[in-house]
Amino acid sequence: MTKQEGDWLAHSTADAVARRSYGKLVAFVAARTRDVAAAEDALSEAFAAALDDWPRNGCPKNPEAWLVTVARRKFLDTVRANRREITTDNLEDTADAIESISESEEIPDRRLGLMFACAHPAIESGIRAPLMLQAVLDFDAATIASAFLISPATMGQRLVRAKTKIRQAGIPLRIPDRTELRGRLDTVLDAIYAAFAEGWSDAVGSDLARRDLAEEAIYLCRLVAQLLPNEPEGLGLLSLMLHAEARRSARRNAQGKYVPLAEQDPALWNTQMIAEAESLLYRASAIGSVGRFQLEAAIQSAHVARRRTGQANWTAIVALYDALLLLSGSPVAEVNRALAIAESQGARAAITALDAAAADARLAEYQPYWAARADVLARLGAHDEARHAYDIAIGLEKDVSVRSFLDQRRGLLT
Amino acid sequence: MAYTEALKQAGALKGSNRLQPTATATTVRTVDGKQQVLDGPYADTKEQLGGYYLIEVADLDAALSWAARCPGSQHGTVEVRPIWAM
Repeated sequence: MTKQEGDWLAHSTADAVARRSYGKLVAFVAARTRDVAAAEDALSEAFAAALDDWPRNGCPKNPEAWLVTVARRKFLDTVRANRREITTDNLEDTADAIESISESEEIPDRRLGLMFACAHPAIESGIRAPLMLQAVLDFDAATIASAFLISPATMGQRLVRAKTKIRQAGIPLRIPDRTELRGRLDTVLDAIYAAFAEGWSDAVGSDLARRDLAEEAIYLCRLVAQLLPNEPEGLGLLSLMLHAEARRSARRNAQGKYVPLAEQDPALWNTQMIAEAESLLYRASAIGSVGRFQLEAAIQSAHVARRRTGQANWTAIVALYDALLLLSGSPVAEVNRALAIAESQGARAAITALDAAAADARLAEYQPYWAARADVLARLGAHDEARHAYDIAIGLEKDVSVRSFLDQRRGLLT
Repeated sequence: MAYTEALKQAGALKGSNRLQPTATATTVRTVDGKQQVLDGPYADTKEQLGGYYLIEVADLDAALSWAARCPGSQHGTVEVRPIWAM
């Protein structure tokens, strides 16, 4: 092998390990020390050492074990050099705190434990999703910052603060006990969904970092579904996100204009993703414990029924929103329910439902409420009122292509 | 008290004290090298620190589950904080 080939092999092996196992390595190294930041630092040094060592000495048989061994040594060096609060006494404990691993061993997968730490209720809720993306998937702070529309410096600080909290408060990197699992899993799923929603808001996929975010959220949820196969809400969230992702390319037309769900061409939907989403939802429902994500996935499922029957199952959609409202009391669910009522029972019933929903003051600043109101009023022939509602909806919308869609609808009024 | 007994039984209890109301408090401060003694509490707030338990457990989740069992958590708030390792 020439030197060039050796270099190339070392780099591509390191790349592959990083992609496949980064989160697994961080979770393993930080498992007992709870020092996520130090684990990340030690691993990045270990990767650098690998790129120096592997071209000369050949790639090890078990690159993960090699990296963990080196990271463990680097970690101890750092502790010795920097941590005044750690005395020689517990330095020995620290040494034991990272297990050594032999060439022949598989590294145990503790990524889920790491995710539970990142989404612990003791961590500020807004930083849970970014923290997970960084610790499990190796996203850098700048990329996360741009996806969450926060300045890179602020994002960096908040990530550091969260990692310090994990270490200092003693947040465990493990899957909670049976009794607490359901409640705590909700915070993990919420964080995954938050990451997905950030990716989803960029419909055209013009912003690569954001589109990746939706895919990575699906990846994280696959991990949850795989490691906790009997938790119905994990399956429900995965089903929900796959349903949404399946329609991504149908959300904009060839000119980049916004296309509402009702006008999308079902032929553009990804049938394979829909099939997987449907089977996940079926598996979740068989477990027999309904939750928010399963209901939202079921609503998606009733929408895509249009693919086979030419019509969404509006009666089912209204019933599912009723159930969702009982669970969450969310005014957003109330608006969507009103739109389903418009389809199944007519515009007059829908406007009554929207009037009732308007009791919640939060809706005054919620674009979809005003757009829904405008649409229903237009169907009732109340064009002046509809125009007014469109004006407010347009004023509240950030996305240019949605704004021009609303503007075009407004132009149809007489 | 049953809670303290349970903590002892679990081998988690390292110490505890109940504090008398803040009306009994006297505050000391050193300003520019000069000692100042003030009557009354450090901060005049509605909430008062009523006492503390010093416990030793594996991690935050274990500490939180003990905090949730503390009778004080039903009518007040229990704040959980790590101590500095000496």
